[in-house]
Amino acid sequence: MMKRKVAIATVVAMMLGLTACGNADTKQTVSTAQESQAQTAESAASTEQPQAPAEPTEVVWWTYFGDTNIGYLQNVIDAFNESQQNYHVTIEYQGKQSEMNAKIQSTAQQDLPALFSGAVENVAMYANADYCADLQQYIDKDIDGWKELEDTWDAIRSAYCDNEGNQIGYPIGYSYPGVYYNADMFKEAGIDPASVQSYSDLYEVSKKLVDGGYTKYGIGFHADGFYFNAALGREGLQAYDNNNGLGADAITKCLYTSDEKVDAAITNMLGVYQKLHAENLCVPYGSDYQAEIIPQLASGDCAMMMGVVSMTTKVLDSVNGAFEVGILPMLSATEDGKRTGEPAGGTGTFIGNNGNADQMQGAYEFIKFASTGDQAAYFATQTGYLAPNQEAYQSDVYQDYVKNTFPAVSTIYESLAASDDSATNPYIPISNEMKAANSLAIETVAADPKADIQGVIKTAQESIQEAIDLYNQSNQ
Amino acid sequence: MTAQITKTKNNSSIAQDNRRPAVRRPGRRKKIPVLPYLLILPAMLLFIVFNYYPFFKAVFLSFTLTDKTGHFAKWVGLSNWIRILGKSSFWQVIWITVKMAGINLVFTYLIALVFALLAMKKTRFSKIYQTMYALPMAIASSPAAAIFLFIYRQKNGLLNELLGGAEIGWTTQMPYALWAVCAMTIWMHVGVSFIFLLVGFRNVSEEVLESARLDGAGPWQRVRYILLPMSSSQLFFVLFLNISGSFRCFAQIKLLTNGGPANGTKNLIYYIYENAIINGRFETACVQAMFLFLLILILTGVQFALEKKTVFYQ
Amino acid sequence: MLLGLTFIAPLIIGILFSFQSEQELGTYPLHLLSDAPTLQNYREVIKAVPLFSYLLNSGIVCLISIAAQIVIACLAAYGFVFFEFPMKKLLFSLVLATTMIPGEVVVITNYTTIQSLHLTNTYAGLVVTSLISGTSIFLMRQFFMTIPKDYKEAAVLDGCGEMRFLFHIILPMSKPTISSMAVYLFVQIYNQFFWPLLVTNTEKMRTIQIGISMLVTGDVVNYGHILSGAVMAIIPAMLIYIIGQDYMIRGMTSGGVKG
Repeated sequence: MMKRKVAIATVVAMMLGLTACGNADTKQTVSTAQESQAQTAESAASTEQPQAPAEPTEVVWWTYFGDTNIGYLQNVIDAFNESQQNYHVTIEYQGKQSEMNAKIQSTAQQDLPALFSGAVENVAMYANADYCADLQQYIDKDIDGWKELEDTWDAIRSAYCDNEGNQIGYPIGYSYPGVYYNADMFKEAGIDPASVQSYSDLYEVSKKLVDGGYTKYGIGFHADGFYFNAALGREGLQAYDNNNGLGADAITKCLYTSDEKVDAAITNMLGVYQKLHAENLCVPYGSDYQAEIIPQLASGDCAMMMGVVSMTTKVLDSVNGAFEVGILPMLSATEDGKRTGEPAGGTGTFIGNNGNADQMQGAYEFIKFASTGDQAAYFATQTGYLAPNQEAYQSDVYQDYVKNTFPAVSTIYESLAASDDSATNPYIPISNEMKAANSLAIETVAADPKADIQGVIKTAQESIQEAIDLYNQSNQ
Repeated sequence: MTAQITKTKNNSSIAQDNRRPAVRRPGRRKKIPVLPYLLILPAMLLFIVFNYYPFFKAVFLSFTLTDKTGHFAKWVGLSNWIRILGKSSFWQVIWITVKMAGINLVFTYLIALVFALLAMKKTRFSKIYQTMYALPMAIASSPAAAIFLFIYRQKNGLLNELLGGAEIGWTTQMPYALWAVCAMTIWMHVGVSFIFLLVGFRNVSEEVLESARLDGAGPWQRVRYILLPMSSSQLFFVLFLNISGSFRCFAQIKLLTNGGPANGTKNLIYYIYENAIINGRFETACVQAMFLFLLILILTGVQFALEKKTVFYQ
Repeated sequence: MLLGLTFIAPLIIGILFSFQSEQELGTYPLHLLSDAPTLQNYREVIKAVPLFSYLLNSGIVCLISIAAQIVIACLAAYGFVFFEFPMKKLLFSLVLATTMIPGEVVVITNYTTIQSLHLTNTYAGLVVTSLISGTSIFLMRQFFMTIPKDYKEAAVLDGCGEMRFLFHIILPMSKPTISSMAVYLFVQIYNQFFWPLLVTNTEKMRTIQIGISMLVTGDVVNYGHILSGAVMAIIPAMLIYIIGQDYMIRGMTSGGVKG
């Protein structure tokens, strides 16, 4: 009898405990929710009276730069925070580019950062998105003017504009595709680097170097669909309708198969990839450039690497003075390429539309500050990114870098100086799908010496077309 | 077993009859017990909010077009399903998914089984073995991938050196890339299965094994007729864990090959990730996710049908 | 012994490499043993990424989630194994179904839910999706099913209440299973990356895998940093495992569940 009572009591106690637990849980959740609501209310209140800046406005910057580059950027940020009293910038890592984009897209407006990093290929996506505020409206309001913007290389400036010429963002890391090469080896083999201008040249030179016993591989490729577009851009071709998206209307068609010139250029380019792999003249496509290609370049087992200038520091560190490193501007897809345009790569900063006018203004001030000669030059020399404007390029820091650290980079600037606006990145909001389809095309011909190039192009065209159609149907 | 269940049923209702009239509201003298529902309630509430709700939303979205933020844009009926299931590239992905899952499942299970049998006997060093076999599971996939990249390097990679200076592009050439990804997956997953199997084996009492030995049963017979049947519930659990786990092989693909070369290592979960996270094509990802769900559901269903025949509960 | 060593060879390689300078790692041929071992990578990583506060957060998240899963899973499994009730099969299938839902399609919706509950940047937000999993309920159910039903009959006949039976008889018997489950959960939760990335914005709420990912991201990564970061991240996991293992063994030898 006694035992039964105890048992019953235990059960009751347990049940009460259980329900109490449940209650406590909900209570806690509610109180946290209230707290954070109070917090938002507080911050909202503080923004209503910007006239009393006892505390500087906090400007949060979401980025996908890794620890190394965040380290350099922190110095720029510190300089900005010290240079004025109104704003305080904090940089926060948010995963890789795709992860950060996914996060931004699904974040509620008031939780958005005022500043975020974005890839230049995605400018069209940002221009169409609610979470991004056009930089242009701040430039228009700016009574002091922004002289660095006026002096920015046209190619890079236009890459950050929408189809009406409105500035959407500004580059923090201006990357540029090109081919690094072992200058000593070229000299020894009697090859004039300036003669390497197209994919066909690339094949000839690789064959010559490998057959001559100078090296094991002619070239290694940074495996990314970006170079596919870069080569077409250097060719001076538009692979999409409506002026590559920069006309009055948005892109509706991918012209890979319907435009003869585009088709011929892609056929030639893919043909070179296929031949290089079939004849073992290049490091297999898809190899990691940091673990595999750069070390081979440094050891002399590979003569060239197709990459972007932001890899410079890594390349120079690995080579460690063993030979002179040169860099060629990006190749064109065929011999007939115009090679006068510069499809930009790299990362820019954009203003996040979080509805807080103060923070967004602070974001603009920071973008402007980071573009000033000293700051931009500092970041460029540490990383290898290009100096985005004349001030940065002419600064002592950068000139010293050109003279002593990486003299070959001047070929890139010469090419920039000679550029016109004939080559642009496609202004397309589905750049991820586009890049994936392009890189699949390259991978397919690289993996299979018998792959039918026309079939490969058709597959790429179809998947890009499908992505364009879906985008246009769902975002009207 | 059925007999046991009915027995328990009777017993528990007796138990309730014993106390419920005294404590609970007298009106609730029904046959339906409340306690088990209360026991399951906390889990169910969490599942509803964080699993079922988003899942049903995904089912819904698979019949729509979504905008870049993953929200409903347009009702399109079955056209997503037709578009996606009608593509040959989708079926290629399914084939790779099944192949990869099969390789992962078989090897993870077998290696874990062997390790568990080896480490089962308690010796002076068994603790060291145990730690060694289980350790890889503690390492996160991104640093593990960094290490494997060094091992898989085509030139001067440790694996190619071991093979006497071979020049295989482990992450860039087929079929090697598939095996390279699987090898890393297996390496990372063996530890968990190993631990569960080890616990299962150790739960089999030593006296039973000892008496079998005295009866003249060889080591193989002891494993086959005593150890495996007696730990069958644990074996079953590890199988379950590995079936859903081997279809989920993802981080390794992302870090080692990005689905390449030429989509040769792109499995369904990577495809889903690509659509949902990279491309923002949420409805496409939802259709593919439904498909994956059904695939695992069928396999698990088969597995549970087999449970009745093979698993031995006391 | 040799088998074990082969198996953990990648790990040893990683540790050895973590003492090499970036320059040494970037050249051919690669040496396993450095010519000039250095702690530079470790120093730089500690300077660049607040790994220790990340570790602390990971620890807190793991602790809360594991404790919650043990309690909730044991309750549910107890319900499923020792009781008969209408819709039991259906409910259990629903539990199992949760293990088959691909996380990639629910994660964004859950992030939206967390935002509307205003739980971003809180521990509650970090743990709330890992307070329970179908796998742990299933694991506990598997173990409970090996417990002879007579135990309960006997206990109930002795007047032991149903909850008391769970806490005083079943749970002590389940120690090895619970601790192996804890080890498993630890690995799962400790290695979570995308969820903590979504629900936290500030450095002080970040977990260790985000720190590691920071080292891995970017046009230019530093392998020395990745490896030394990984070594630092793996040490706590290793310690937990070694401690947990001791506990598991003790539980096993004293438990004597079957006979």
